[in-house]
Order: sequence, then C-alpha cells, then structure tokens
Amino acid sequence: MRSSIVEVGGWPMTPQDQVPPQDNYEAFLERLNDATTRLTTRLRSVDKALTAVSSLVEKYQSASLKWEQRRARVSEELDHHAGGPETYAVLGELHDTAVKMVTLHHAQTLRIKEQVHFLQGQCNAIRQSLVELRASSAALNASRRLSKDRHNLNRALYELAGARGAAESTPDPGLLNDLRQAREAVVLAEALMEVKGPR
Amino acid sequence: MMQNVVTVVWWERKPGDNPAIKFVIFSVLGVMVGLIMMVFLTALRNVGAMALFTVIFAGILTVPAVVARRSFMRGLTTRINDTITEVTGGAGVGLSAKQLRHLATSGEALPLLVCGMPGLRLHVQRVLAVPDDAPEKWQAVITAVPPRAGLASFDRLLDATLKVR
Repeated sequence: MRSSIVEVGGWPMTPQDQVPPQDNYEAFLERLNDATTRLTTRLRSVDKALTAVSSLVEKYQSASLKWEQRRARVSEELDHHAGGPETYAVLGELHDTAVKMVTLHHAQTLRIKEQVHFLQGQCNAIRQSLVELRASSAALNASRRLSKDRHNLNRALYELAGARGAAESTPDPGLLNDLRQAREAVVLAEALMEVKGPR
Repeated sequence: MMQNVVTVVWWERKPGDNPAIKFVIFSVLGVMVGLIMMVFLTALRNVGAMALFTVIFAGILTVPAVVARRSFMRGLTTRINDTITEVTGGAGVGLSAKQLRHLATSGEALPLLVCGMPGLRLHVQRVLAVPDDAPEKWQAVITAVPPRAGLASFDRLLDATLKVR
C-alpha cells in the first residue's frame, strides 16, 4: 500500500525507513552483556582466590609471630645465662635458628602478600570495568528507546503527510556518542581480560 | 576454623541423576516394551534379539543423562580451575574432570602453591545431609594449613638445654 504511494509520488524511500534503527544497538548490547558476564565470572573466581590467599597470609603471619616469641625467649635466657659455656653455645645456636626462622617466615609472608595485592588490584580493576560496562549499557538502552520513539514519530509524520512529508529522519546525535562510549567500555573490558588473564 | 575455609563451588546430586541407575530403570522398561512387542514381532521371540533390544533401548534413553552429567562436570571443573589459576598466579595445575572425580572419591587434598609457597589445599568433600532422601551435597573447598614449622622440636630442644643448666 505504502509502496504504491511512493511510486505514485515519485519520492524515493529513504533507507532509514526500511531498516529499523535499533539494529545498531543490538550487536553492541550483546557485546556489552557478553563482556559483563565474562567479567562477573572472573570476579567471582578472583574473589574466592583473594579470600583463600588472605587466609594463608594469616597463617604465615601467626607462624612468624610464634617464632618471634621463641626468639625473644631464647634471647632473654641468653641474657640471664648462668650456666656453662656449652649451654651458652647451644642457646646461641637456638637463637640463630629462631632468627633465621623469623626472617624466612617474614620473607614468605611478604611474597604471599604481594599475591594478595595483585589479586586485590585485579578485583578493583574488574569492579571498575563492570561499573563502566553497566553505565554504558544503561546509556545505550536509554538511547535505543529514544531512537525508537523518534523513528515511530517520523513514521507517523511520514504516513500523515503522505509522500511529501518525506521523512528526513534526523540523524541521531546521541547515537554516535553512545556507541563510541560503549565501544570504549568493551575494548577496555576486553583489554583487561587479555592483560590480566594469564590463560 | 571456619574463616579458613573458602567454598569454591558447591553442587547437589540426586541419586536419580546417576546414569547407571537410569540405565537400569530404562532396561526394566525396555524388557516390558520388548515383551509387548513380542506379540506383534515374531523376530523378537528369542533371547538374543530381546537382550539386544533392551540394551539399545536403555542405551539410547540414557545418552541424554550421560551428556548432561558430562557437561555439568566440565562446567564444575572450569569453575574450580579458574579459581586455582587465580590462587596460584597462573602457574597452577589444570584439573581435569577425571582428577576431580578422583579427588571426590578418594577424599585426597590437592596442594596448591601460592607463588611457590605451600599451605593451601583443595578438598572435594560431601556435606553431611540430615535426611536420607535429601540430594547429596558436595563442595569444593580451599583450606589454609599453617606452614610446616619445627616449633615443637625447637621447644623440646630449648627445654632440654635449659634443664641441663
């Protein structure tokens, strides 16, 4: 019916009227959702790993503390020493051992703590990225609704005014911007997955 | 005690989901269907054909259960491996579905190294369910054990030294 009007009127139909504009959004929303799902999965495992490694740090720290107590005690015994030279030598040896143990545990605690910091950084980066993705997705959805309304309005105008109303569908000013932002968010999220992902 | 246990993932398993049990049930069904079909098909009226029919019948019906179980176990392994990778910093052990099953049946612990440091262990264990007919609940947990330290030996040595005096 409408096509016959167009032919009679001789106005070419603009491609915007045939292609629904929300198709532009579909692919991007899908990519955003995909990235969000993957990051959420990643966040879950990083979170569990963080809890586990943190509890290990506690274990190493308490062990370090216990050795420190032993060292202090032996040191005290050495100070109040009133026995023979052999006892003194053995006590000194024990003291050396305790000192060695303390430094060893301390170094190990530091190394595990490094891993904790690394995981924490990852956690924060992923959270930040998720927030960006969510904002981007919300902006796209809002823009998509607006664009749909605009399209509907244009069509109503077109149909009311007949062929001469010539729907010059106004170029969507928000669309390009939103798509650019969404692309950036996706690129950032994917870069995060690649850089931080040792797999 | 409890805060040292991190549950990586937990899952439930109903006894009816077991492919072996399903196969048995479908076999019984297959025998019954076969008996009914004997009335119409004379070819089925011997033991070999009957057995073949039963096995194929039950086998075909069990395939979906096997596939579902497989993909479930694969998803489970992926989730556990993801966490292991994060814990060990990438240089971790990739767990296969077979190893996971082995861990579950044997109750052994898998040691995990954090930057080369021992202390974390992965257990796959069954959570005790209260009622008998409740589905089996399993979980994969990571526990932290204190580093092996010769504290006790050190204390004994110290005591012995002080006693001598």
